[in-house]
Amino acid sequence: MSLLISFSILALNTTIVPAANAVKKYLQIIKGTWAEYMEYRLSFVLWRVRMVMQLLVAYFLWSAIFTDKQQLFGYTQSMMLTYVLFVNVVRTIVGGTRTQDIGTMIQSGALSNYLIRPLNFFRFAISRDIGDKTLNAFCAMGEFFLLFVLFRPEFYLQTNITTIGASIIALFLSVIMFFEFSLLLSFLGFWTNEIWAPRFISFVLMEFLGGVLFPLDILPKALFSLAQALPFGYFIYFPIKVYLGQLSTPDMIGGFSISAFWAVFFWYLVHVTWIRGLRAYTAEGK
Amino acid sequence: MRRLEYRFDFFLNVLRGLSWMFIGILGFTIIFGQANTIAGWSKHEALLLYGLFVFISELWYTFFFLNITNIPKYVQYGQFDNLILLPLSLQFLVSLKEVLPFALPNALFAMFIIVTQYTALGKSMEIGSLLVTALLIVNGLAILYSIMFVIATLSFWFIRLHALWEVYQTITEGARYPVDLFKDPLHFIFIFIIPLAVIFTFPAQFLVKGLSWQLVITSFLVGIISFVIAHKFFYFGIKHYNSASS
Repeated sequence: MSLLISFSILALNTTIVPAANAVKKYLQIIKGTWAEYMEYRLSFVLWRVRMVMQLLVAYFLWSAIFTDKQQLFGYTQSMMLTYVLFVNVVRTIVGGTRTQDIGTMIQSGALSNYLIRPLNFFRFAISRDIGDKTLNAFCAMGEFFLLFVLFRPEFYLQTNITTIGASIIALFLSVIMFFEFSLLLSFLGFWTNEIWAPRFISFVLMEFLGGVLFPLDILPKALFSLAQALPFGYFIYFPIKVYLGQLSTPDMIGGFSISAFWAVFFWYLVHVTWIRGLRAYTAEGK
Repeated sequence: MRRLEYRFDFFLNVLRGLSWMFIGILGFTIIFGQANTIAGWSKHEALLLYGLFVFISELWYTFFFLNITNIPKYVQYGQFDNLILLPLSLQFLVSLKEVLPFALPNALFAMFIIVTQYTALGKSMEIGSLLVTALLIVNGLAILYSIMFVIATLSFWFIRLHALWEVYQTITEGARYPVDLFKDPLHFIFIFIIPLAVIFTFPAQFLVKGLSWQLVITSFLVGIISFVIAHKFFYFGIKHYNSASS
Protein backbone atom coordinates (compact mmCIF):
# COMPACT_ATOMS: atom_id res chain seq x y z
CA MET A 1 0.00 0.00 0.00
CA SER A 2 2.68 2.48 0.98
CA LEU A 3 4.54 1.47 -2.16
CA LEU A 4 1.50 2.41 -4.19
CA ILE A 5 1.27 5.78 -2.42
CA SER A 6 4.92 6.60 -2.89
CA PHE A 7 4.73 5.50 -6.48
CA SER A 8 1.71 7.73 -7.04
CA ILE A 9 3.46 10.68 -5.44
CA LEU A 10 6.48 10.05 -7.61
CA ALA A 11 4.31 9.84 -10.71
CA LEU A 12 2.57 13.08 -9.77
CA ASN A 13 5.78 14.90 -9.09
CA THR A 14 7.34 13.89 -12.35
CA THR A 15 4.39 14.41 -14.62
CA ILE A 16 1.39 16.38 -13.46
CA VAL A 17 3.18 18.96 -11.34
CA PRO A 18 5.79 19.92 -13.94
CA ALA A 19 3.06 19.98 -16.56
CA ALA A 20 0.93 22.26 -14.39
CA ASN A 21 3.94 24.48 -13.78
CA ALA A 22 4.69 24.60 -17.46
CA VAL A 23 1.13 25.55 -18.23
CA LYS A 24 1.29 28.27 -15.57
CA LYS A 25 4.53 29.51 -17.07
CA TYR A 26 3.14 29.79 -20.57
CA LEU A 27 -0.14 31.19 -19.30
CA GLN A 28 1.90 34.02 -17.82
CA ILE A 29 3.37 34.64 -21.24
CA ILE A 30 -0.08 34.80 -22.77
CA LYS A 31 -1.21 37.29 -20.14
CA GLY A 32 2.00 39.21 -20.69
CA THR A 33 1.18 39.59 -24.37
CA TRP A 34 -2.23 41.03 -23.47
CA ALA A 35 -0.57 43.46 -21.05
CA GLU A 36 1.83 44.59 -23.78
CA TYR A 37 -1.08 45.43 -25.99
CA MET A 38 -2.75 47.44 -23.27
CA GLU A 39 0.41 49.51 -23.01
CA TYR A 40 0.47 50.25 -26.71
CA ARG A 41 -3.25 50.88 -26.76
CA LEU A 42 -3.09 53.59 -29.38
CA SER A 43 -1.17 51.50 -31.89
CA PHE A 44 -3.53 48.63 -31.29
CA VAL A 45 -6.68 50.71 -31.74
CA LEU A 46 -5.23 52.32 -34.86
CA TRP A 47 -4.43 48.95 -36.30
CA ARG A 48 -7.97 47.73 -35.69
CA VAL A 49 -9.39 50.94 -37.19
CA ARG A 50 -7.27 50.33 -40.26
CA MET A 51 -8.50 46.74 -40.59
CA VAL A 52 -12.08 47.98 -40.34
CA MET A 53 -11.39 50.65 -42.96
CA GLN A 54 -9.96 48.08 -45.33
CA LEU A 55 -12.98 45.92 -44.74
CA LEU A 56 -15.36 48.81 -45.39
CA VAL A 57 -13.54 49.85 -48.53
CA ALA A 58 -13.73 46.31 -49.91
CA TYR A 59 -17.37 46.12 -48.87
CA PHE A 60 -18.33 49.36 -50.63
CA LEU A 61 -16.26 48.52 -53.66
CA TRP A 62 -17.95 45.19 -54.21
CA SER A 63 -21.37 46.69 -53.51
CA ALA A 64 -20.73 49.25 -56.21
CA ILE A 65 -19.57 46.60 -58.66
CA PHE A 66 -22.66 44.52 -58.01
CA THR A 67 -25.15 47.40 -58.41
CA ASP A 68 -26.60 46.20 -61.66
CA LYS A 69 -25.59 42.59 -61.58
CA GLN A 70 -26.95 39.49 -60.00
CA GLN A 71 -23.88 37.34 -60.38
CA LEU A 72 -20.24 37.94 -61.02
CA PHE A 73 -17.47 35.37 -61.39
CA GLY A 74 -19.90 32.86 -59.97
CA TYR A 75 -20.59 34.91 -56.85
CA THR A 76 -23.79 36.61 -55.83
CA GLN A 77 -23.58 39.89 -53.98
CA SER A 78 -24.37 38.28 -50.64
CA MET A 79 -21.72 35.59 -51.13
CA MET A 80 -19.11 38.17 -52.07
CA LEU A 81 -19.96 40.46 -49.16
CA THR A 82 -19.91 37.48 -46.81
CA TYR A 83 -16.47 36.64 -48.16
CA VAL A 84 -15.29 40.18 -47.56
CA LEU A 85 -16.62 40.23 -44.00
CA PHE A 86 -14.94 36.93 -43.25
CA VAL A 87 -11.59 38.01 -44.66
CA ASN A 88 -11.22 40.38 -41.73
CA VAL A 89 -11.93 37.68 -39.16
CA VAL A 90 -9.78 35.01 -40.79
CA ARG A 91 -6.95 37.40 -41.51
CA THR A 92 -6.90 38.53 -37.91
CA ILE A 93 -6.90 35.03 -36.48
CA VAL A 94 -4.37 33.62 -38.93
CA GLY A 95 -2.19 36.70 -39.34
CA GLY A 96 -2.16 37.92 -35.75
CA THR A 97 1.28 37.00 -34.62
CA ARG A 98 4.26 38.24 -32.68
CA THR A 99 6.72 36.14 -34.64
CA GLN A 100 7.99 39.18 -36.50
CA ASP A 101 9.49 40.36 -33.21
CA ILE A 102 11.75 37.34 -33.34
CA GLY A 103 13.56 38.77 -36.33
CA THR A 104 14.37 41.92 -34.38
CA MET A 105 15.34 39.81 -31.36
CA ILE A 106 17.85 37.92 -33.46
CA GLN A 107 19.36 41.07 -34.92
CA SER A 108 19.66 42.94 -31.66
CA GLY A 109 20.97 39.94 -29.78
CA ALA A 110 18.01 39.98 -27.44
CA LEU A 111 17.39 36.40 -28.44
CA SER A 112 20.13 35.41 -26.01
CA ASN A 113 17.95 36.51 -23.10
CA TYR A 114 15.32 34.03 -24.14
CA LEU A 115 17.73 31.22 -24.87
CA ILE A 116 19.14 31.19 -21.38
CA ARG A 117 15.73 31.13 -19.78
CA PRO A 118 14.17 27.85 -18.72
CA LEU A 119 11.59 27.80 -21.44
CA ASN A 120 11.24 26.12 -24.75
CA PHE A 121 11.56 28.90 -27.30
CA PHE A 122 8.91 27.50 -29.61
CA ARG A 123 6.43 27.05 -26.80
CA PHE A 124 7.21 30.61 -25.83
CA ALA A 125 6.49 31.85 -29.34
CA ILE A 126 3.29 29.80 -29.52
CA SER A 127 2.11 31.16 -26.17
CA ARG A 128 2.74 34.73 -27.31
CA ASP A 129 0.77 34.03 -30.43
CA ILE A 130 -2.11 32.47 -28.50
CA GLY A 131 -2.26 35.67 -26.48
CA ASP A 132 -2.11 37.73 -29.65
CA LYS A 133 -4.67 35.72 -31.57
CA THR A 134 -7.21 35.50 -28.77
CA LEU A 135 -7.18 39.25 -28.23
CA ASN A 136 -7.38 39.99 -31.94
CA ALA A 137 -10.02 37.36 -32.62
CA PHE A 138 -12.13 38.91 -29.90
CA CYS A 139 -11.84 42.31 -31.58
CA ALA A 140 -12.43 40.91 -35.06
CA MET A 141 -15.63 39.17 -33.93
CA GLY A 142 -16.77 42.41 -32.34
CA GLU A 143 -16.09 44.33 -35.55
CA PHE A 144 -17.83 41.65 -37.55
CA PHE A 145 -21.02 41.89 -35.52
CA LEU A 146 -20.91 45.67 -35.42
CA LEU A 147 -20.65 45.90 -39.20
CA PHE A 148 -23.24 43.18 -39.61
CA VAL A 149 -25.67 45.15 -37.50
CA LEU A 150 -24.84 48.43 -39.28
CA PHE A 151 -25.08 47.24 -42.84
CA ARG A 152 -27.28 44.20 -42.55
CA PRO A 153 -25.84 42.45 -45.57
CA GLU A 154 -27.50 39.33 -46.86
CA PHE A 155 -25.24 37.04 -45.00
CA TYR A 156 -24.57 33.46 -45.95
CA LEU A 157 -24.94 31.28 -42.89
CA GLN A 158 -23.50 27.80 -43.19
CA THR A 159 -25.77 25.18 -41.72
CA ASN A 160 -24.04 21.95 -42.60
CA ILE A 161 -22.26 20.70 -39.48
CA THR A 162 -19.57 18.78 -41.37
CA THR A 163 -18.77 21.82 -43.46
CA ILE A 164 -18.44 23.98 -40.37
CA GLY A 165 -16.18 21.35 -38.84
CA ALA A 166 -14.10 21.16 -41.99
CA SER A 167 -13.70 24.93 -42.10
CA ILE A 168 -12.51 24.97 -38.49
CA ILE A 169 -9.91 22.34 -39.35
CA ALA A 170 -8.87 24.35 -42.40
CA LEU A 171 -8.58 27.45 -40.24
CA PHE A 172 -6.46 25.54 -37.74
CA LEU A 173 -4.15 24.40 -40.55
CA SER A 174 -3.91 27.98 -41.79
CA VAL A 175 -2.92 29.19 -38.34
CA ILE A 176 -0.17 26.58 -38.12
CA MET A 177 1.07 27.23 -41.67
CA PHE A 178 1.25 30.96 -41.23
CA PHE A 179 2.92 30.68 -37.83
CA GLU A 180 5.67 28.54 -39.34
CA PHE A 181 5.96 30.77 -42.40
CA SER A 182 6.33 33.87 -40.28
CA LEU A 183 8.95 32.12 -38.15
CA LEU A 184 10.90 31.33 -41.30
CA LEU A 185 10.82 34.98 -42.33
CA SER A 186 12.10 35.97 -38.91
CA PHE A 187 14.81 33.32 -38.96
CA LEU A 188 16.25 35.01 -42.04
CA GLY A 189 17.59 37.42 -39.45
CA PHE A 190 20.20 34.81 -38.54
CA TRP A 191 21.94 35.46 -41.83
CA THR A 192 20.96 38.88 -43.10
CA ASN A 193 20.06 42.33 -41.87
CA GLU A 194 17.37 42.85 -44.47
CA ILE A 195 14.45 41.06 -42.88
CA TRP A 196 11.94 43.78 -43.57
CA ALA A 197 12.00 43.42 -47.35
CA PRO A 198 11.11 39.72 -47.66
CA ARG A 199 8.36 40.18 -45.08
CA PHE A 200 7.00 43.13 -46.99
CA ILE A 201 7.04 41.18 -50.24
CA SER A 202 5.20 38.34 -48.51
CA PHE A 203 2.53 40.83 -47.38
CA VAL A 204 2.07 41.97 -50.95
CA LEU A 205 1.84 38.37 -52.14
CA MET A 206 -0.62 37.55 -49.37
CA GLU A 207 -2.88 40.45 -50.31
CA PHE A 208 -2.91 39.44 -53.90
CA LEU A 209 -2.50 35.67 -53.95
CA GLY A 210 -3.87 34.92 -50.52
CA GLY A 211 -7.43 35.95 -51.11
CA VAL A 212 -7.38 39.10 -49.00
CA LEU A 213 -8.35 41.59 -51.70
CA PHE A 214 -10.65 39.23 -53.55
CA PRO A 215 -11.56 35.53 -53.66
CA LEU A 216 -8.94 33.73 -55.69
CA ASP A 217 -11.27 31.91 -58.02
CA ILE A 218 -12.17 35.11 -59.84
CA LEU A 219 -8.68 35.13 -61.27
CA PRO A 220 -8.13 33.89 -64.83
CA LYS A 221 -7.32 30.19 -64.97
CA ALA A 222 -3.55 30.50 -65.30
CA LEU A 223 -3.21 32.83 -62.31
CA PHE A 224 -5.63 30.74 -60.28
CA SER A 225 -3.54 27.61 -60.86
CA LEU A 226 -0.45 29.53 -59.79
CA ALA A 227 -2.25 30.71 -56.66
CA GLN A 228 -3.26 27.15 -55.82
CA ALA A 229 0.33 25.96 -56.12
CA LEU A 230 1.60 28.58 -53.69
CA PRO A 231 0.93 28.42 -49.96
CA PHE A 232 -0.56 31.91 -49.71
CA GLY A 233 -3.97 30.87 -50.95
CA TYR A 234 -4.32 28.48 -48.05
CA PHE A 235 -3.83 31.14 -45.42
CA ILE A 236 -7.04 33.04 -46.02
CA TYR A 237 -8.90 31.97 -49.14
CA PHE A 238 -9.18 28.23 -48.53
CA PRO A 239 -10.79 28.25 -45.04
CA ILE A 240 -13.39 30.79 -46.16
CA LYS A 241 -14.17 28.79 -49.28
CA VAL A 242 -14.66 25.67 -47.22
CA TYR A 243 -17.02 27.54 -44.93
CA LEU A 244 -19.02 28.89 -47.86
CA GLY A 245 -19.51 25.31 -48.95
CA GLN A 246 -18.55 26.15 -52.49
CA LEU A 247 -15.91 23.51 -52.90
CA SER A 248 -16.57 20.13 -54.46
CA THR A 249 -15.37 17.15 -52.45
CA PRO A 250 -12.33 16.47 -54.65
CA ASP A 251 -11.41 20.15 -54.39
CA MET A 252 -11.74 20.03 -50.63
CA ILE A 253 -9.62 16.91 -50.32
CA GLY A 254 -7.04 18.42 -52.66
CA GLY A 255 -7.03 21.64 -50.66
CA PHE A 256 -6.63 19.87 -47.33
CA SER A 257 -3.81 17.73 -48.69
CA ILE A 258 -1.94 20.74 -49.98
CA SER A 259 -2.50 22.62 -46.71
CA ALA A 260 -1.22 19.65 -44.75
CA PHE A 261 1.78 19.39 -47.06
CA TRP A 262 2.72 23.03 -46.53
CA ALA A 263 2.22 22.72 -42.78
CA VAL A 264 4.59 19.78 -42.59
CA PHE A 265 7.08 21.23 -45.07
CA PHE A 266 7.27 24.55 -43.27
CA TRP A 267 7.68 22.78 -39.96
CA TYR A 268 10.63 20.89 -41.39
CA LEU A 269 12.15 24.11 -42.73
CA VAL A 270 11.61 25.81 -39.37
CA HIS A 271 13.35 22.95 -37.61
CA VAL A 272 16.33 22.99 -39.97
CA THR A 273 16.76 26.77 -40.09
CA TRP A 274 16.45 27.05 -36.31
CA ILE A 275 19.30 24.62 -35.75
CA ARG A 276 21.52 26.14 -38.43
CA GLY A 277 20.55 29.63 -37.40
CA LEU A 278 21.42 29.06 -33.77
CA ARG A 279 24.81 27.76 -34.85
CA ALA A 280 25.44 30.97 -36.82
CA TYR A 281 24.06 33.07 -33.98
CA THR A 282 26.26 31.56 -31.27
CA ALA A 283 29.25 31.58 -33.59
CA GLU A 284 28.96 35.35 -33.72
CA GLY A 285 29.45 35.35 -30.01
CA LYS A 286 26.06 36.67 -29.08
CA MET B 1 29.33 49.73 -47.39
CA ARG B 2 26.98 52.62 -46.84
CA ARG B 3 26.77 53.33 -50.55
CA LEU B 4 25.75 49.73 -51.16
CA GLU B 5 23.11 50.03 -48.46
CA TYR B 6 21.89 53.24 -50.03
CA ARG B 7 21.53 51.59 -53.40
CA PHE B 8 19.84 48.57 -51.90
CA ASP B 9 17.34 50.71 -50.02
CA PHE B 10 16.74 52.66 -53.18
CA PHE B 11 16.12 49.50 -55.16
CA LEU B 12 13.84 48.12 -52.46
CA ASN B 13 11.78 51.28 -52.42
CA VAL B 14 11.35 51.25 -56.15
CA LEU B 15 10.36 47.59 -55.92
CA ARG B 16 7.87 48.43 -53.19
CA GLY B 17 6.34 51.22 -55.24
CA LEU B 18 6.20 49.21 -58.44
CA SER B 19 4.66 46.14 -56.86
CA TRP B 20 1.99 48.19 -55.11
CA MET B 21 1.21 50.02 -58.34
CA PHE B 22 1.16 46.83 -60.34
CA ILE B 23 -1.31 45.22 -57.97
CA GLY B 24 -3.40 48.34 -57.81
CA ILE B 25 -3.65 48.58 -61.57
CA LEU B 26 -4.33 44.88 -61.88
CA GLY B 27 -7.10 45.21 -59.35
CA PHE B 28 -8.70 48.05 -61.27
CA THR B 29 -8.38 46.11 -64.51
CA ILE B 30 -10.19 43.12 -63.02
CA ILE B 31 -12.89 45.32 -61.51
CA PHE B 32 -13.49 47.26 -64.69
CA GLY B 33 -13.49 44.10 -66.72
CA GLN B 34 -16.91 43.54 -65.24
CA ALA B 35 -18.41 47.00 -65.13
CA ASN B 36 -18.00 50.08 -67.26
CA THR B 37 -18.36 52.58 -64.50
CA ILE B 38 -17.96 52.39 -60.78
CA ALA B 39 -19.71 55.14 -58.84
CA GLY B 40 -19.85 57.16 -62.02
CA TRP B 41 -16.13 56.87 -62.79
CA SER B 42 -14.93 55.09 -65.89
CA LYS B 43 -11.85 52.89 -65.96
CA HIS B 44 -9.46 55.56 -67.20
CA GLU B 45 -10.87 58.15 -64.82
CA ALA B 46 -10.52 55.79 -61.86
CA LEU B 47 -7.00 54.81 -62.88
CA LEU B 48 -6.06 58.46 -63.20
CA LEU B 49 -7.32 59.03 -59.68
CA TYR B 50 -5.27 56.06 -58.54
CA GLY B 51 -2.19 57.46 -60.27
CA LEU B 52 -2.82 60.78 -58.57
CA PHE B 53 -3.17 59.06 -55.21
CA VAL B 54 0.15 57.28 -55.68
CA PHE B 55 1.77 60.48 -56.91
CA ILE B 56 0.74 62.50 -53.86
CA SER B 57 1.64 59.59 -51.56
CA GLU B 58 5.12 59.26 -53.03
CA LEU B 59 5.69 63.00 -52.73
CA TRP B 60 4.64 62.69 -49.09
CA TYR B 61 7.17 59.86 -48.60
CA THR B 62 9.89 61.88 -50.27
CA PHE B 63 9.55 65.10 -48.35
CA PHE B 64 7.62 64.66 -45.15
CA PHE B 65 7.28 61.06 -44.03
CA LEU B 66 10.55 60.66 -42.19
CA ASN B 67 10.53 64.13 -40.73
CA ILE B 68 7.02 64.06 -39.36
CA THR B 69 7.34 60.57 -37.95
CA ASN B 70 10.53 61.73 -36.24
CA ILE B 71 8.83 64.58 -34.38
CA PRO B 72 7.75 62.37 -31.45
CA LYS B 73 11.37 61.22 -31.18
CA TYR B 74 12.63 64.79 -31.12
CA VAL B 75 10.18 65.50 -28.33
CA GLN B 76 11.12 62.42 -26.38
CA TYR B 77 14.87 63.03 -26.59
CA GLY B 78 14.74 66.80 -26.42
CA GLN B 79 16.32 67.29 -29.81
CA PHE B 80 14.53 70.49 -30.62
CA ASP B 81 17.02 72.55 -28.66
CA ASN B 82 19.61 72.46 -31.44
CA LEU B 83 17.07 73.35 -34.07
CA ILE B 84 15.49 76.22 -32.16
CA LEU B 85 18.80 78.04 -32.10
CA LEU B 86 19.03 78.14 -35.89
CA PRO B 87 17.85 81.30 -37.63
CA LEU B 88 15.42 79.51 -39.94
CA SER B 89 11.78 78.79 -39.24
CA LEU B 90 11.59 75.80 -36.91
CA GLN B 91 8.65 74.30 -38.68
CA PHE B 92 10.49 74.51 -41.98
CA LEU B 93 13.57 72.87 -40.50
CA VAL B 94 11.64 70.08 -38.86
CA SER B 95 9.49 69.37 -41.90
CA LEU B 96 12.23 69.21 -44.48
CA LYS B 97 15.17 68.02 -42.41
CA GLU B 98 15.60 64.84 -44.37
CA VAL B 99 14.41 64.30 -47.86
CA LEU B 100 14.17 60.75 -49.16
CA PRO B 101 14.88 60.70 -52.85
CA PHE B 102 14.02 56.99 -52.97
CA ALA B 103 10.38 57.61 -53.60
CA LEU B 104 10.87 60.01 -56.49
CA PRO B 105 11.08 57.31 -59.19
CA ASN B 106 7.76 56.00 -57.91
CA ALA B 107 6.30 59.48 -58.16
CA LEU B 108 7.50 59.56 -61.75
CA PHE B 109 5.83 56.21 -62.48
CA ALA B 110 2.65 57.57 -60.96
CA MET B 111 2.89 60.64 -63.15
CA PHE B 112 3.30 58.30 -66.10
CA ILE B 113 0.05 56.59 -65.13
CA ILE B 114 -1.72 59.93 -64.87
CA VAL B 115 -0.49 61.06 -68.26
CA THR B 116 -1.35 57.82 -70.05
CA GLN B 117 -4.84 57.71 -68.58
CA TYR B 118 -5.40 61.35 -69.44
CA THR B 119 -4.42 60.82 -73.04
CA ALA B 120 -6.55 57.67 -73.18
CA LEU B 121 -9.50 59.84 -72.25
CA GLY B 122 -8.76 61.95 -75.29
CA LYS B 123 -8.93 65.25 -73.51
CA SER B 124 -7.21 68.31 -74.78
CA MET B 125 -4.24 69.77 -72.96
CA GLU B 126 -5.39 73.12 -71.68
CA ILE B 127 -2.66 74.95 -69.87
CA GLY B 128 -5.16 76.67 -67.61
CA SER B 129 -6.82 73.52 -66.33
CA LEU B 130 -3.48 71.74 -65.99
CA LEU B 131 -2.21 74.60 -63.89
CA VAL B 132 -5.25 74.55 -61.63
CA THR B 133 -4.89 70.79 -61.26
CA ALA B 134 -1.25 71.20 -60.29
CA LEU B 135 -2.27 73.78 -57.70
CA LEU B 136 -4.98 71.48 -56.39
CA ILE B 137 -2.40 68.70 -56.05
CA VAL B 138 -0.06 70.95 -54.11
CA ASN B 139 -3.06 72.04 -52.05
CA GLY B 140 -3.92 68.41 -51.35
CA LEU B 141 -0.37 67.70 -50.29
CA ALA B 142 -0.50 70.72 -47.98
CA ILE B 143 -3.69 69.44 -46.33
CA LEU B 144 -2.20 65.97 -45.93
CA TYR B 145 0.93 67.50 -44.46
CA SER B 146 -1.11 69.64 -42.07
CA ILE B 147 -3.19 66.72 -40.83
CA MET B 148 -0.16 64.57 -40.14
CA PHE B 149 1.71 67.53 -38.67
CA VAL B 150 -1.09 68.28 -36.22
CA ILE B 151 -1.16 64.64 -35.15
CA ALA B 152 2.62 64.63 -34.75
CA THR B 153 2.38 67.85 -32.69
CA LEU B 154 0.19 65.96 -30.23
CA SER B 155 3.37 64.18 -29.18
CA PHE B 156 4.31 67.27 -27.22
CA TRP B 157 1.63 66.23 -24.77
CA PHE B 158 1.30 62.49 -25.35
CA ILE B 159 4.96 61.74 -25.66
CA ARG B 160 4.77 58.12 -26.62
CA LEU B 161 3.14 58.55 -29.98
CA HIS B 162 4.63 55.74 -31.98
CA ALA B 163 2.33 54.70 -34.73
CA LEU B 164 2.32 57.72 -37.02
CA TRP B 165 2.98 55.57 -40.03
CA GLU B 166 -0.07 53.51 -39.07
CA VAL B 167 -2.10 56.69 -38.83
CA TYR B 168 -1.09 57.66 -42.33
CA GLN B 169 -1.97 54.24 -43.72
CA THR B 170 -5.29 54.30 -41.91
CA ILE B 171 -6.20 57.76 -43.09
CA THR B 172 -5.38 57.01 -46.70
CA GLU B 173 -6.97 53.58 -46.77
CA GLY B 174 -9.89 54.70 -48.85
CA ALA B 175 -8.02 57.41 -50.71
CA ARG B 176 -7.36 55.52 -53.92
CA TYR B 177 -11.05 55.33 -54.75
CA PRO B 178 -13.37 58.18 -55.72
CA VAL B 179 -15.12 59.45 -52.65
CA ASP B 180 -18.49 58.87 -54.30
CA LEU B 181 -17.91 55.15 -53.91
CA PHE B 182 -18.62 55.36 -50.22
CA LYS B 183 -21.93 55.73 -48.53
CA ASP B 184 -22.50 57.46 -45.23
CA PRO B 185 -20.99 57.49 -42.69
CA LEU B 186 -17.71 57.03 -44.56
CA HIS B 187 -18.79 59.47 -47.27
CA PHE B 188 -19.35 62.17 -44.69
CA ILE B 189 -16.11 61.39 -42.89
CA PHE B 190 -14.05 61.53 -46.06
CA ILE B 191 -15.42 64.93 -47.02
CA PHE B 192 -15.72 66.82 -43.76
CA ILE B 193 -13.60 65.12 -41.13
CA ILE B 194 -10.58 63.66 -42.90
CA PRO B 195 -10.92 65.46 -46.22
CA LEU B 196 -9.58 62.71 -48.46
CA ALA B 197 -12.05 64.00 -51.01
CA VAL B 198 -10.33 67.38 -51.13
CA ILE B 199 -6.82 65.92 -51.12
CA PHE B 200 -7.21 63.18 -53.69
CA THR B 201 -10.57 63.05 -55.43
CA PHE B 202 -11.04 66.75 -56.21
CA PRO B 203 -7.85 67.29 -58.23
CA ALA B 204 -8.59 64.18 -60.28
CA GLN B 205 -12.21 65.13 -60.65
CA PHE B 206 -11.28 68.62 -61.77
CA LEU B 207 -9.04 67.21 -64.45
CA VAL B 208 -11.32 64.58 -65.93
CA LYS B 209 -14.89 65.30 -64.93
CA GLY B 210 -14.96 68.91 -64.02
CA LEU B 211 -15.36 70.50 -60.64
CA SER B 212 -17.56 73.47 -59.82
CA TRP B 213 -15.57 76.59 -59.11
CA GLN B 214 -17.18 76.79 -55.67
CA LEU B 215 -15.59 73.45 -54.79
CA VAL B 216 -12.26 74.58 -56.20
CA ILE B 217 -12.31 77.71 -54.05
CA THR B 218 -13.40 75.63 -51.05
CA SER B 219 -10.50 73.26 -51.62
CA PHE B 220 -7.98 76.08 -51.47
CA LEU B 221 -9.70 77.53 -48.43
CA VAL B 222 -9.46 74.18 -46.68
CA GLY B 223 -5.79 74.03 -47.64
CA ILE B 224 -4.99 77.45 -46.25
CA ILE B 225 -6.98 76.93 -43.07
CA SER B 226 -5.43 73.53 -42.33
CA PHE B 227 -1.93 74.88 -42.92
CA VAL B 228 -2.54 77.81 -40.59
CA ILE B 229 -3.93 75.48 -37.93
CA ALA B 230 -0.93 73.16 -38.23
CA HIS B 231 1.45 76.12 -38.01
CA LYS B 232 -0.17 77.67 -34.96
CA PHE B 233 -0.63 74.38 -33.19
CA PHE B 234 3.03 73.46 -33.70
CA TYR B 235 4.29 76.68 -32.16
CA PHE B 236 1.81 76.27 -29.33
CA GLY B 237 3.37 72.87 -28.78
CA ILE B 238 6.87 74.31 -28.84
CA LYS B 239 5.90 76.76 -26.11
CA HIS B 240 4.68 73.88 -24.02
CA TYR B 241 7.88 71.97 -24.76
CA ASN B 242 10.04 74.91 -23.72
CA SER B 243 8.18 75.49 -20.50
CA ALA B 244 8.36 71.79 -19.69
CA SER B 245 12.07 71.37 -20.27
CA SER B 246 13.16 74.51 -18.42
